Amino acid sequence: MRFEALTGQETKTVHRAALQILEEVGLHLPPASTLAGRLREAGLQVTPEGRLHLPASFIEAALAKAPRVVRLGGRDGRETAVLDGRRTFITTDGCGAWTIDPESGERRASTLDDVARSARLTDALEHYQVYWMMVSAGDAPLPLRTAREYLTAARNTTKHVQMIDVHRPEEAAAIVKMARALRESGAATDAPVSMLNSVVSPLRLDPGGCEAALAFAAAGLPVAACSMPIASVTAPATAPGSLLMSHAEIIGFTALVQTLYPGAPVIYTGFPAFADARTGITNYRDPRRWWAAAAATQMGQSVRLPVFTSGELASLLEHPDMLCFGGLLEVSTVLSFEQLVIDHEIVRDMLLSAAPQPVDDETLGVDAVREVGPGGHFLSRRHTLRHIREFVVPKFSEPARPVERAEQDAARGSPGDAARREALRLIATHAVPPIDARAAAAMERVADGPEPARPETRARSSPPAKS
Amino acid sequence: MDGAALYGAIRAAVVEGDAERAGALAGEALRAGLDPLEILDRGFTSSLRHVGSCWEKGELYLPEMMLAAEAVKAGLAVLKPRLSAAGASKAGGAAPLVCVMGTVAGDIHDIGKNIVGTLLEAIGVRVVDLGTDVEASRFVGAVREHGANLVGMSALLTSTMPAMRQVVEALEAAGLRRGVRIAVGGAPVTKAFAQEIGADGTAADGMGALRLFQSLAAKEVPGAV
Repeated sequence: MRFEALTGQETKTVHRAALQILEEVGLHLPPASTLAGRLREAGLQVTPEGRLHLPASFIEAALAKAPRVVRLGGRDGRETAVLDGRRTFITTDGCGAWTIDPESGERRASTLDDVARSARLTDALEHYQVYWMMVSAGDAPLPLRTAREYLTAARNTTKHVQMIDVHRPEEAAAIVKMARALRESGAATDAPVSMLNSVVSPLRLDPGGCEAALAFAAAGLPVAACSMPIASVTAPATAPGSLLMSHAEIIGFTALVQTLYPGAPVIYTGFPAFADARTGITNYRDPRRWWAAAAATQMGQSVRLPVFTSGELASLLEHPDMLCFGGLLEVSTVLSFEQLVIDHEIVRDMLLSAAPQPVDDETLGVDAVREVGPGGHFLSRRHTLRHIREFVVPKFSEPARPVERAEQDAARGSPGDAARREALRLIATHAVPPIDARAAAAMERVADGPEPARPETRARSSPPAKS
Repeated sequence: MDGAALYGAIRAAVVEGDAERAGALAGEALRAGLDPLEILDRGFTSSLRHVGSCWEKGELYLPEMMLAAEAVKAGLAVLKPRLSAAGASKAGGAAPLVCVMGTVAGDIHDIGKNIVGTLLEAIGVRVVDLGTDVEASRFVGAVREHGANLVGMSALLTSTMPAMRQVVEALEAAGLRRGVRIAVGGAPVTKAFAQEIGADGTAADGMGALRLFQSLAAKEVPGAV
C-alpha cells in the first residue's frame, strides 16, 4: 500500500526550489565560530556576515557521497535496524522536559530515573526498535548530562539509542567514547548510538550542535539531519512551504557533513509542522501535518537518503525508514508512561493497517464459503481457526463490548489506568541484560567525568528477571 | 480629515496591519495640530487594544496581531520626537519602561523572543534586544547601561534553561535584581521553573507574555537603575 503525497514532478519542483534557496539565500552561522573556520578550510565561502551560499552543483555532488543504507545497532549487537528502504522502524517520541509521575500523577521535571524507566519500558515493547531519548534529565549536571543520559538509557535497553539534546562537541566526544567502548568490547557491532541535530529554522546552523554532529560523523556514528520548521512562524504559511524549508535545511546540512566527512551515515529527518494560528506555538493537531510528513518522506527518498519522519498512517504509507510515534504529550514536552503503552498499541495497529494483505485461494476462503453455504456462520470452520489469531484485540484502546461490560470496565478504572498499571508492571519486571562489564566500566568513567563529587547517576537497579 | 476621521483611519490602518499608512497618518495627525499624546492614546493604543480584544475572541490570529503591532510601531516612530519621555510609557508606570531581552547562552532559538519584543514595542516599551546566545554578563551590562526595569529571557533547549538562573543570579550579584522585573519563556519553561530560579513570571505564548510584562510593570514599576 502506498500513499503518494507528491507527484514525481512536484518532488522535482520542491527540490529545485530548495536548491535555489540554498544558493541565493544560503544558511547562516556565526562567522567567527569554529564551524565557520572548518567550512572555510574545506573551501566554502562564509561571508563576514555569516552567510553560507551553497550552489546547486555543490549540494548535488555532496549528497551523492551519502550512503543510502544506514545501520543502527543495539548495544549488544542483536537489535539492529537496517535503514535500507525495506522496512519502517518505530522510535519513541522525544525529548520532554517534564514527566507525569506514574505513581503520583504529578507533572514534574524529568530525571535520570525517567530516562531509565522509559528506556526499560521501550525495551519491553516489541514494536519499538529505537529509543529516542524521551526526556532531558534535569537532575544531571550539565556538562555530563547527555553522557549520563546515554549510559542510563544503554543500561536499560539493548535497543539503539538516538540522542536528541547534544549541543556541544565535548558532549558528543563523551558519547563517541562510550560507543567506542561498546564496539571495542565486541558487544556492539553496528553503531549503538546516533544523534539528531536540527537546523534552526529558518536557515540557521547552531554551531555547537553542528560540531557535535560532526564529531559523531567523524566517528562513523549516524547523524539525523533534522529540520522542524513551523509553517507561518519559521517557514512559509503553507504545507508545501513548510516542506520546502525542511528539505532545504536538511539537504544543506547533509551536504556540509558530506563535505567534511564523505560517506558519513546521515538520516534525512524531516518534521515539517504548523503553528497554532492564535499563539504561534507548534500545533501537532493540524491535519496537514500528516501530508507534510508524508511528503517529507518522499523528498528524502528522492535524494536517496534513509528517511526519518513523524506522523501517523499517512507517513507510514510512504514507507519511511524510521517513524517517531509515542509516549509524549503536550507538543512533545511531557513524558507519559501510560501514553507510551497506549501508543505502542496504536503503533501495532498502524503497522497492521499499512501491511499488505495477500490475496490468494487461502485468504479468499472460497472453500470455506462453499462449506458454510447460504446462512450459517464461519466461527467453527478450520479456515477461521487458521486465521483467528491474526485478529487484533485492543487492551488499552476502546475494545468492542456490550454496554453492560463497558459499565463494569469503567467501574474498574479508565483504559489509561490499565495502561499505567501495565507500564509499571513492565518497568518492574522486564529484565534487560547488563552491559558488557568491560564496556560498562569504560562508559562509567566517561559519564563520571572529572568532577570529584557527583550526585547519584546510576539507572535504577535491574529489576528481577521475568521469571 | 478631522480628528475623528483621522482616528478612524488610524484604527483601520492598524487593524489591516498597514505600517506605511499608519506612519503617514501619524504625521498627518500631527500636522493637523492634534495633541501627540492624544494621537497615541485615541489613535494607536486604543486600536491595539481593539486588535487585542479581537485576538482574545479568536477573531484575529497571531500574524494579524503582529502586523498590527508593526503598524503601531510605525506610528510611534513618527510620534516619538513629540512625546515627552514620561508620556511615552503606556504601560501605566511613572518611569519609562525599558526591557532588556535575549536568548540565553548556548541557545540560538529566538522566534518567541522576537514576537514578544515586537508586541512590547507596540505598547511603547523600549526594547533592547541582545540577540541570541547571550551570556549573563551581557544581560547585566545592558540593564546597567540602559537603565532597564524589565528583563526578558528566552530558551528553547532544556540544556540552556539553567543559564536563565545564572542571569538572575548575576543580576542579584551586581545589585540590580531589585530594580528589575524578570520574565522567562520558551517551550520547556513552566511557572514552577520560573519561580524556582527567582524570576517573576512566565507565559506560554506571545500575547500571554505581553500581558505578563504589563502586569509586572503595573504592580510596582521599579525606578530606572
